[in-house]
Amino acid sequence: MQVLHIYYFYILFYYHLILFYFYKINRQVKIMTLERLVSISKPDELEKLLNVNKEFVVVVTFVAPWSTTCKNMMDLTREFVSDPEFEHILFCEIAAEEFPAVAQKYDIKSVPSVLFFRGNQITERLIGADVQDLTNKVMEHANKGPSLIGKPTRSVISQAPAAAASPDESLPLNDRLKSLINQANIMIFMKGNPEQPRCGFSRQVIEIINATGLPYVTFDILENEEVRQGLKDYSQWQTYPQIYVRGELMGGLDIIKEMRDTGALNEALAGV
Amino acid sequence: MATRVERITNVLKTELTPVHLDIINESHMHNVPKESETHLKVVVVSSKFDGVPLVRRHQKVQELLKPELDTGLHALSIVARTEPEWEKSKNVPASPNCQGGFGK
Repeated sequence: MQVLHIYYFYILFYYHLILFYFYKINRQVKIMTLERLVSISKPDELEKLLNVNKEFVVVVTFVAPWSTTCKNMMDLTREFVSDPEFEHILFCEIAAEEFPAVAQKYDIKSVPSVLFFRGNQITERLIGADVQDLTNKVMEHANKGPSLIGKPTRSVISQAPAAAASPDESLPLNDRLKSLINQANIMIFMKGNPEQPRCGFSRQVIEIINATGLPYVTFDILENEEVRQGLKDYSQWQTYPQIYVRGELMGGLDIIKEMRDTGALNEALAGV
Repeated sequence: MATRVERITNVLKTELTPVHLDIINESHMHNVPKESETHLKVVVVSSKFDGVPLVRRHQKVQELLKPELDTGLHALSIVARTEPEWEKSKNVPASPNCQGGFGK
């Protein structure tokens, strides 16, 4: 009897040990597969990823994490990344609201939207949460990537920034900003350009300044993320457009409009 | 959880003790999901603006709302007046539609 007891003990012990290892392996696999999905966390991360992964298919899902329709697409993407068949495809996810400049750059008008990239070019654009459509497209691309050898690069954040080209770039950011806002007597930092404003606020500012007939210079902040973020802190002004007169911040659309309506604008711009 | 409008109301009431405060959700004018709080207009009348230039008033409001601007508040329109200014004109200008990419 005694001997039998001891056997029972051993059997139970090994049974649990095996269960424990299975559990650990399972968890490990889950963690590994989740790492294959890149959640964009920096404004310039996507651009860098696209640059280093030119020979791979990159699938970018623009989402709003709180939206249930997006949730379906996000769940589906997680299934793709855990499938070894798609290991040559880089899947990224980006919260469109958190990175409005990126969403704007790729002309995202609603979420979920899925973009397929190859060689830094958009090859496919899916709008809405059509699960079947996305699955078909991913399958289609899985078998025709130019590079089925090697794996895409998933991390670019820690990489050193690209070497500075123009001498201007070597100046500290604040000095560059200072010289930028002093580039003309009237400087407008806007989304887009006077011919094609990318935002109604910017458009109205251009209309108001155009009406004064005075010369001005514009800077498209959508083209330069560093200036876009830097100028916010430099001038303690969180939104665009921003209007500078002789290097001094005058304000945004609300102020320009108010000044126009009270006549203060002509006064402030006299002699510029 | 408080909505964005509620949070903004609280912070502005505490910091600026306004005699008039109106926060208008203009998100419906834009191509964003229902119930969004991405495009707001803040009308605030406070004696703390007495003798303060317009640009500084706006900077103050933006500074108070920076946490919101950093977390998805995409467009913020501000009307910041002193009491006498408000008595003279209660006209609040309309905001434009933001026609750029996200939020159309």
